[in-house]
Amino acid sequence: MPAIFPRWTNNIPIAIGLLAPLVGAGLIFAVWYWFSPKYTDVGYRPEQPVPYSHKLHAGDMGIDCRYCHNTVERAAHAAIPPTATCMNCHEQVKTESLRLRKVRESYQTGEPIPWIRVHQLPDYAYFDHSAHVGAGVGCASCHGRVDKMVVVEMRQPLSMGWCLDCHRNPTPNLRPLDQVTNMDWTPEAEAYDPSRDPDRKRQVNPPLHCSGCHR
Amino acid sequence: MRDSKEFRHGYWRSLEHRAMSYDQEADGWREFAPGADTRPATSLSRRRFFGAMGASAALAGATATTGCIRKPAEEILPFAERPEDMIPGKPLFYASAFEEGGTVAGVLVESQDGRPTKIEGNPRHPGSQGAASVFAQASVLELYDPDRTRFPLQGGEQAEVRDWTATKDAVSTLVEGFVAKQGKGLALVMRQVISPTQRYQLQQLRRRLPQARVFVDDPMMPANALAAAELVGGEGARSFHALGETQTVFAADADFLGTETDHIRLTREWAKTRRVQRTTDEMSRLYVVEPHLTSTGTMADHRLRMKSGAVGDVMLALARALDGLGVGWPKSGEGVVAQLPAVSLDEPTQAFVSALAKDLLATKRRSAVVVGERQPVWVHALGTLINAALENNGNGQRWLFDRESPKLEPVAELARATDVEAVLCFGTNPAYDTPAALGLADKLAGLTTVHFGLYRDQTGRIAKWHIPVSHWLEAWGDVQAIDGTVSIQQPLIAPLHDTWSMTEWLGLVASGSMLDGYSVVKYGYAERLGGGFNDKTWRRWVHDGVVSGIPREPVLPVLDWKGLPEAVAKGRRPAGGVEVDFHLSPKVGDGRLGNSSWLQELPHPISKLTWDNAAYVSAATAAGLGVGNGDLLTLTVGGRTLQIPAFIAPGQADDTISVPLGYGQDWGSVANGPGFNAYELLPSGEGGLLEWFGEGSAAKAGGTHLLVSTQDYGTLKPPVLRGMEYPERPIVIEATRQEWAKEPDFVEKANLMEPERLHHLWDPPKLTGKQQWGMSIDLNTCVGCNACMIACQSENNIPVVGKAQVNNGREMHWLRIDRYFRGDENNPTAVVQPMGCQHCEAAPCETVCPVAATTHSPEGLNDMAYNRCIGTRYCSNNCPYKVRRFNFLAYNLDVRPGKFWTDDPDGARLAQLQKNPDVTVRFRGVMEKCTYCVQRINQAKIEAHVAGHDKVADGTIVTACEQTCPAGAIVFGDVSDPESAVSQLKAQNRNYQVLRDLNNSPRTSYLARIRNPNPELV
Repeated sequence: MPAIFPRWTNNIPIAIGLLAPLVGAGLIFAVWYWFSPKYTDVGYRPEQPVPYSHKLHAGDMGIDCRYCHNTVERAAHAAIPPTATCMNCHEQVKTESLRLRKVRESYQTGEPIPWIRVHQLPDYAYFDHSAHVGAGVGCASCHGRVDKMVVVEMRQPLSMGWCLDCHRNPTPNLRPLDQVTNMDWTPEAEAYDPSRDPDRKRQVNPPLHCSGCHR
Repeated sequence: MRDSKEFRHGYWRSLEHRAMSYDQEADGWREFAPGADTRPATSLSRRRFFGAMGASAALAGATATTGCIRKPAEEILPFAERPEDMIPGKPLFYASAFEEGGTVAGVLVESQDGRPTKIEGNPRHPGSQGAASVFAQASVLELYDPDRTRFPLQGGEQAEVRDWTATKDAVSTLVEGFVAKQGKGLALVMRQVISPTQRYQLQQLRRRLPQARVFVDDPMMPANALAAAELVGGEGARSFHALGETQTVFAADADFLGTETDHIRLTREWAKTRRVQRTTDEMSRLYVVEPHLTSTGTMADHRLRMKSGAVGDVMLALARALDGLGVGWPKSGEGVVAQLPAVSLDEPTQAFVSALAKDLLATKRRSAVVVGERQPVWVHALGTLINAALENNGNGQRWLFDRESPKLEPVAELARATDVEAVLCFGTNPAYDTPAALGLADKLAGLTTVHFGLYRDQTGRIAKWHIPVSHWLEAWGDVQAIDGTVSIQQPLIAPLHDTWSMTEWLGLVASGSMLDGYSVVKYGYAERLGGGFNDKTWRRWVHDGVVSGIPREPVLPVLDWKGLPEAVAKGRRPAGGVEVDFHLSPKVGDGRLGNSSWLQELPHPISKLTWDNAAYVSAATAAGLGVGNGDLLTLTVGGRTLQIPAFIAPGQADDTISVPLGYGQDWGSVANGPGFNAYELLPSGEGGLLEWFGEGSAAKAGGTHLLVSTQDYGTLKPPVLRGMEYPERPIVIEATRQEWAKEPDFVEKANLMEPERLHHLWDPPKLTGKQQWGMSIDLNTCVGCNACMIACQSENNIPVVGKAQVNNGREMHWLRIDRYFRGDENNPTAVVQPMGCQHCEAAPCETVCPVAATTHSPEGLNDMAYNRCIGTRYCSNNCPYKVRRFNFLAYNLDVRPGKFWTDDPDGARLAQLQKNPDVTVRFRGVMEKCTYCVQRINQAKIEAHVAGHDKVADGTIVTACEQTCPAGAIVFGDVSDPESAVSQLKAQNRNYQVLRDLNNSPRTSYLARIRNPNPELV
C-alpha cells in the first residue's frame, strides 16, 4: 500500500514545535504593541471640519488656552468654544475667508460645527479638567505642545497605566498654578517644588482607588 | 455566645417565612427564591447559538483586519452661542413644582446639558421642605416615556394623525359652535383645579360660555375632606393639618405618611416630633385605626385593625369619651355630641378609645385628629369638631378660606347629564378612573369627546380627538398647595413632541385665542396683582419656586357644627358582612402613573408586591375563603364583580378586602398588564363623592395569578426552624421608651457576641483618607415611603427588569426597604428598614473577588469597578446584607421591559435622555450596588480641592436618598469628624450596626426604633 503522506510530512510536528513558540511570542508582541493605546491612539489626528490651527492662534498669536476653553477651570470638560467665540474676532478679521465659511454658517444658522473629538476617554472613566488644572498640571503635560500643532493630534496614550504613573508620582508634572497654560514652561528649566509653593493652599493627593475615576 | 433571649423578638418577613421549617432538600432553608438559578426561557437553539457565535467571531475578525481598533470617531457639537450660565457637563438646577392629588412638592429639577434628569426637593418650599415624593421622583421618567402620544389623533379607535394647525382649528371651531348657545351642551372634565392660572381661566370661561358645565374627576383629590370643611366652615373653607408641634396624633384611617394629600409635608413635620436623642426627649405618640396596614400603620404606637365602616363609630365614641372627660366644646358645637348616636364598642376598642381620649386631652393644643380621605364626610366633620374642642385649631388643624376655587360638579353628574353634547377632558381619564357603574366610558364614546392628555389612554381611545399635551417639565404653569403656597412651574425643556400645554389649550377654550403659556401665566399675575407686580418679583418667584410677597388676609372661616348630627344620621351605615375597601395605590396613585416602569417595579411599601395589585385579606379571612396567595377571588360589590388574586396581608382587619386602585389598564407598554381594575367595583356615593368602602362579598373563583412579592428575597435572616433554635440576629432593633429609659444600651445587648471576641481573619484595608464616609439611618422616623428608592433609581441609572425577572429575584434596586413583622400573625407590628450597601470596612465581598473589581477606597467606600467585573457573583454570594445586584441581562438596553431597544429606536433615544451622565450605564454581566452616590462625593471633593480646601464641609455632600427623604431619616457625612451631623447621630446610644457580630464594621449604621406606647394600654 502506497504511503498517503510523503515522507517529509514527518518533519511537520518538529516544525510546529519550533514555530509555535515563535508564533505565540509574535502574537503576544503583536497585541502588546499594536493593541496598546501608545500605538492606536498616540498620533491620532483626525481631519476637522474647519482647518483651525492651534499653532497660529495659540502659538504665533499667543492667545491663552482659556480664552476659548474657558470652562476648564470650573468643569470636567474643557469645552470646545461656541461658534460665537470664534466670531468675536472673525467678525472683524478674515471676514471673507473661505476657510471660515463653516464658522460663519454656524453662527448664522445656530447649527453647531461638528468637530471631531481627538482626546477620547472611555465612557466609564470620569476625567475632570478643573481638578487637574486646579492642582497645577500643565495643559502640555497631557496634550503636548498644542501651540506647535497645525492640526491637533494625540501626544499621550491617555491609558489607565499612563494616568496612574502620574497619580502615583505627580510632582514631576506639577507647576506653579499660574503657569498651567504656559506652553513654554519646562520642569527642567525651573526647579519647582510644589511643597514649597506659598500659592498652593493644599498639596495634591491624587486618588489611586477605583472610584477616583470610575463611578 | 450571649444569651440574648430577651431580645428574641421573632421577626419575620412573610407568613411563609414565619412558618418555614427545615428543608430536607436544601439542607436547611432556601436562601434564594426557587428558580433564581434558572436561565430565562429563550428560543435560542443550539444551531442559532453557533450561528451567532460564528457571526460575532467574523465581526471581530473584520474589525481586527480593517484595523479599526481605535474607538469610533465621536463628534463634539458645541453651541453656536452658549447660553449664559451654561457650562457643558455641569448640571443646572431650576425650581418648579410637582403636583399630584392636591399634594404639591416644590422641586429643584436637575438639568444636564438641557435634559431634565432628576427631581430634587426644594428646601424653600413650605409644602415639601426640601423633600420629594415617590411620584415626584418618578415623573421625570414620564417625560421621556416612549408611549407618550406624539401627534394629535382624530377618530376614536381607528384614529388618524392630524397636524397641529388643523387640530387647533378643529378645537376652536368646536368651542365657537357653543358660544352662540352660551356654552350650553359643552362640558369640561378637569382634575382638581389647584392652579391659580387655570382658576382664572375658568372664570374667563364662565364669562364666555356661562352655561358650559365643568366637572371634576380626580380620585386623588381630598373630596371628602373638602366637603366636610365646607359643611362646617361654609363655602370655600379649607382645613389641613400641621404636625410639627404635635404630641399626640390620631390617624383615623388616614395614611398621612403615605397617600393622603400633603403627605410630604406631614411626614416631614411628624418625623420632627419623633426624632429623639436622649431617653428624656419628648416624642409624639401615634394612634392608628385602619382596615389594612399602611405606612402610617407601621409607624403606629397603637394600632387597631378594623373595618373602615367602624372607624366612624370609633370617632363617635371618642367624642363621647372626651365629653365624659369634660372637654370644652366650641360654642357652635355645644350640645352636638349629645345628639350624636351612642355606639357600643368591644372591650379592646373601648379601652383604646378611653386611653386615646385621655391622651388627646392631656396634650390639648398639641394634638391632632387626622381623618383619612377614605372616610365619609361626617367623620371628617366630626374630626374637625374634636380638633376644635382640643383647641387644635391654628395648631394641629388649620383653616383658611379659598375664595378663588371655582365650584365644580362631580363627574358622576356627567353620567346623569342629558344636555351635554361635547366633552373636553383636560388631563383626565374618566373612561377609566370613575366608578364603572356610572357607565361614563360608553357615554363619552357617544359624545363629541376631546381628550387632552399625555397618553392615549382609555378616554383617549374612545375620544373623537386625542390631543397630546406637554408634560409639566415642558410647560409653564402654577400650582397652589393646600396651605395657600403658590409655586410657578417653569419648563425645563422645549416640548419633545411639539405639544401645547394644558394651560394653553384651556386658554384657547376659555378666551378663544391661544397664547403661549409663559404669557398666560405671567400676565395673569400682572393683571390680578396690578401695581404689585413687576418683572423683578416674577423672576424671583420663578427662581425661588415660591410666589412670595403677596399679602394674604388671614380670614378664618366661622365654624359651625349644627349640621353634623344630620350628616351623621344620613351618612352612617352599620358595618356588617364583608367589607370591600378601595384605596389609592402608594405606587401608581389612581392609575395616572401606571405607565411608569419605575413605579410598577417598585415593591409596595407593605406587601412588597411588584407589577400587580391584589386583594389584601387577613389570614383568617383567607382561610375562610379557602384561598392562598395568588388564588383568584371573585369580589362582588353592588352587583358588579371582579376577579382578582388574593394576597394574605398581616395586619389586615378580618372580613375586609382591600383593593388598590390604579391597576388593570389596557393601554401603554407598561400600564397594560399589571394588576386588576378595581374601578369596576368602586361604588359612587352621595353627592357624587366616591365611596371608598362598601359591603360586598367574596368567593374563591378558581385559577391563580402569579403575584411577585420581593418580601422573601434577599433576606438577611434565616427563619427560625423547628429544631434549629438560635438567637435572633441583630437586624432590626426596637424598644419601647420605657425599656429604653431602663436600659439605654439595649442595642448593645442585642449583639450576640462580646466585642472582645470579635477578630478579623485578615487585616482590613488601610483607611488613610482625610475624610471617612458613613451614613446613619433613623428607623424611628423612616416611614418606608419608597421615595429614596426611586431617587436612587433616577440618580444612578438603575434599570427595570420586568415582572418575570423580579420573580427570579433579579430586581436591580441598589436600595431596598425591608419590612419586618413581629408578633401575632394576624395583627403584627411592623418595622421598615432601608437596606443598601453598608460599605463595610472589612467587606466580605472584596476578599472573594478574583479580579479585584470591588476594592476599598481610602475613604471607606466599597468601590465597584464595572469594567473589571467578570461576573462571578462571588461577592453577592458573600454579602451578608444581600445588597449586590447583578445584570443578568442587558436590562439597560430595554426601553421597556420585554421590549428591546432595536424594536423602537426612537423610544430608545428618548429613554436615554433620562440617564445621568455622571454615572456609568452598566451592561450585562456586571455586578453593581450602592456607591454612596460617589459621583456626588467626587464632585464635592473636586470643588473643595479647586477652592484649596483639603476637606469637604459637612452637609455639602447629600446623597440622592438623603436629599429626597421626607422624614429626614438618612444622614450622610464624614464619620471621622466628631462634629459632623452623621457622627453626632452615630454617637447616640440607639446607634447600632446590622449584624455587628460578623465584624464587618459597616459604615451605614441605624438608629434603633423606639415605640412610644401609652402605659395605660400596655
